[in-house]
Amino acid sequence: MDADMDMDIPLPEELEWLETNAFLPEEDEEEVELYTEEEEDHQQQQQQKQQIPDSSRTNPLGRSITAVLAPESISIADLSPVSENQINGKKRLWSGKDNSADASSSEKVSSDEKRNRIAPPGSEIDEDWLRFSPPMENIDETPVVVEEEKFVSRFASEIDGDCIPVTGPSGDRVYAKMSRVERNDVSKKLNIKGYSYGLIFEPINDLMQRVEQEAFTKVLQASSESPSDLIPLEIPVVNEQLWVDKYAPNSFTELLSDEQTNREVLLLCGPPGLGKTTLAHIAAKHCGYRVINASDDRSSSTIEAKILDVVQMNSVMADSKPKCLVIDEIDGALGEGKGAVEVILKMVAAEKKSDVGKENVSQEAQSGRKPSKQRRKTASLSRPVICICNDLFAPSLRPLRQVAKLQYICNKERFRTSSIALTALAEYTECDIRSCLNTLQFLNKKKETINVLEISSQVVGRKDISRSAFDVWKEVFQKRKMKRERKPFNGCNSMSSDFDLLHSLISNRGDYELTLDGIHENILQLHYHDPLMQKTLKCLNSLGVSDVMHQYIMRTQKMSLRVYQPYIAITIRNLIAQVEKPNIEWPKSFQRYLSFHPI
Amino acid sequence: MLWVDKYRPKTLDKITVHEDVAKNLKKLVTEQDCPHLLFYGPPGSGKKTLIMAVLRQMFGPGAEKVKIENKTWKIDAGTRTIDLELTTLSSTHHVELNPSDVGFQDRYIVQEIIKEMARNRPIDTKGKKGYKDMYVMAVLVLNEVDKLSREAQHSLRRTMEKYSASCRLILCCNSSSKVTEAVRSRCLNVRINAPTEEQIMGVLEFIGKKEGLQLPPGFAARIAAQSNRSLRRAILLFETCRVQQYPFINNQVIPPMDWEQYVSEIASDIMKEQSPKRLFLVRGKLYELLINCIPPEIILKRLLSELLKKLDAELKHEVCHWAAYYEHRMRLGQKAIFHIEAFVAKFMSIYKAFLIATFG
Repeated sequence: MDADMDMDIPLPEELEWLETNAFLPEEDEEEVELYTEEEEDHQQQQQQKQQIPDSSRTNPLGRSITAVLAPESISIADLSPVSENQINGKKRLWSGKDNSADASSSEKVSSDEKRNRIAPPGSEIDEDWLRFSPPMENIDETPVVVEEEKFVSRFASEIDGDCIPVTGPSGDRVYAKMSRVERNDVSKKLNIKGYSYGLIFEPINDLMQRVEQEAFTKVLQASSESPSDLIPLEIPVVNEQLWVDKYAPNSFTELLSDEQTNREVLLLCGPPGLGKTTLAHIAAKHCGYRVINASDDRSSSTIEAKILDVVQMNSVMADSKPKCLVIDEIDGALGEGKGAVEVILKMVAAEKKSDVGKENVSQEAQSGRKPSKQRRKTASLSRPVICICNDLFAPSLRPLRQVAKLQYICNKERFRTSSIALTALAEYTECDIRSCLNTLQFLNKKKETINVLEISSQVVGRKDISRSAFDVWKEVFQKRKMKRERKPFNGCNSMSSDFDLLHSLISNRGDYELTLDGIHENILQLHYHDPLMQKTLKCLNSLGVSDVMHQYIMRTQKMSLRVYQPYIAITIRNLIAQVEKPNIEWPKSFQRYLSFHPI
Repeated sequence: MLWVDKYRPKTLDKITVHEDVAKNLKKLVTEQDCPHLLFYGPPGSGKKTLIMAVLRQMFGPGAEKVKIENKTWKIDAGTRTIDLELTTLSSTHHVELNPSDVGFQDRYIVQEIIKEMARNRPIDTKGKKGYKDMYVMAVLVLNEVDKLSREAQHSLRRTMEKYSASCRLILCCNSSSKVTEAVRSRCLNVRINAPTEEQIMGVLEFIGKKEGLQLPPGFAARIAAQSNRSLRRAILLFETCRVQQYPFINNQVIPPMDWEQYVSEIASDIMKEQSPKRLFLVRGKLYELLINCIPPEIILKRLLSELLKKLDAELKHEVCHWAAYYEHRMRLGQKAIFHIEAFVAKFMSIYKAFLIATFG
């Protein structure tokens, strides 16, 4: 999954940094207070933070340019030649820098770091915690010398706002302007640790309140459409990141799913695109785990190897971060027999015996298939395992909130939209935010604005939703209530939009045989008015046509003719669909008949 | 052992019903090289009996020692491999199979398997005394050729020509009209008529004598009349009566077949009420018949005749038309239940409209 990979990039570094810095108890408390003050700037930070690892993935040239252009980054005016070494030698903060570091300079890392740590206490600093702040490191990081007197000066008086003194290796002292955002960054990181260090410091009510407030401000910000306080983005054209990854929330508070879900039990199941994977990663990050993603390995053996990896690695490098295993789409692994789940169970049982006694925070979510058993066992696992699955029965996102989020992103990207169009988009993609974002990005590449028409004609916006056979049958037999007024796009009436919907539903399902068998099985149980049996006759005739057609297709292998099968189901639907809820049964009598008569 | 099997004639000489056909076949087999054969005729007329007798005439008693095998073949069809499972009945001299069992993939059976069998000459038949050397060849018996798809029949045509030196095909079907012209012209067509009622009576009396039974006068005639000119059915009915009550009484009831009774029940259900709910009930009964391996064509035919019995003369013509229409569709498709049900719905629709028009 692309999202996982991209998410992973900034994580290890940040966590590492947290590990080394966050264990001073007096800091934790300070940060809690700071946190609330800086609440407002969160989103900007996020924006910024996302941008940095993003740019680091492009070519080295582009990377350096971005670093300079980013307004928050600190530039230094007169770096002595000696400090050039430090520039390359520093490899702590940004992951992308590793590539450019040459071997000789990398040996200096530890000494450089030490120097940076020692320097601040000798100078006049008003805030104690700045000792460990990253701006120090950032100075060395800046790869290109830029003449900007405002930010760095030999005299503190030339800089308005906060500044910190920096002593170069040659003994030169300069004052560097402190960027506000950098400070926030630090505070937030420490803060996160502060929450998760114990179980939870603040009462849950406070947290809930904060989330609510933040969501509110976000919506406000989005709806007011005032880009004044937004950071102007000067992203080069080569800079391509999927918006899905770019705007993936970095903390719980940014998630726009139900708060309840995020706070209490992590029940990570739901239709694709609701943010389960993101949620899992955030949960792990929040608690200071390194995320190991095992989602690509579907066979039991690979999963076993991966889990062993996680466990053993930890025992060897005892000082490194605990790891969190994320198994995405566990139902997919289940599909290939119970091997994978059994492996997990076995591992869990083994783990239980030799309890290492580490953090016992375990989040886990289950599909409905093996509920009680696995939950009980995973609870005592010393390594958390997050299982993610798609479950079609979970409630989907509320469209309104999603639209708010979309608008927020659109504003960020200076992309003019109307809220009607966004609503249409959200509806069109069935509240799948991933799909929404991809569509938006695509449209943005093409032109400047989007409107409703555009969206309804966009094929890209629509994803292949495959539903269970029962969903399809229900759609055939049950009329939609008209309470949700569908605006007639493009002059189509609601009938034809229903037609399109059902058609795509049936074609995406694919198994026309089963679909039509199910229709045949249940058709006579419906309560439609048919005194002269005309409708019944028509339906059965249509089914007969589908059978003859199917036989012809199979005999002649003209598979392209299969496209006409869904229309038969649609015809039947138009004849007999009722508003009341049908009682749908699996076509078992027909299949019993087939078992006696293999065709 | 059922009487049907017990009194099946084993050799061409003992065949009584189609004596002339048997005589010709014997001449053909013993005196000259036997061509490919195509037997066709209604069920219960004795096609299979004749075929077995011909095989025995060719190969001697060895042809009767057959074993049933359930074979699977893996067929490489270009991009994918197809697994086919087929039951074969084989002796050392012949293989009997039913290619239409695999449905629309039957052409692979014909193209690959039959070709494979036809290509391999039997090796160990040298030195058999009493039978001529020219039968050192495999015989393939294919049942239900009329149910083979057109593609399969086309493939069969080539096989028949190419391997005629080492292989003989004996085809067996109910209706020759569904066998392509090309295949028909490559075979000696043998039409097996349904036996007359007199012939059936003769067979029944023969069996009665062998079993030492006392037949009341007219009893054999009644069975023969009920058997619909199918010798197999006549013998089965005869045996059923024997099991039910012996000694036979004069006006002993000859029970109809279970399924026939069931179909007439269905017919009266249909006449009583015409609604989707009733159709649902009928569907259950139709499934019951189909699961018990009653061929759908026969169900439809029987249902029609039962309905016609109870129907107003005015409607008969139209109902017959629709029965033919739906039977045609049924043969084109493969889910028989859809089409039978559609016929029932059609009948209900017509009948209900008629009732409303007549009685208001």
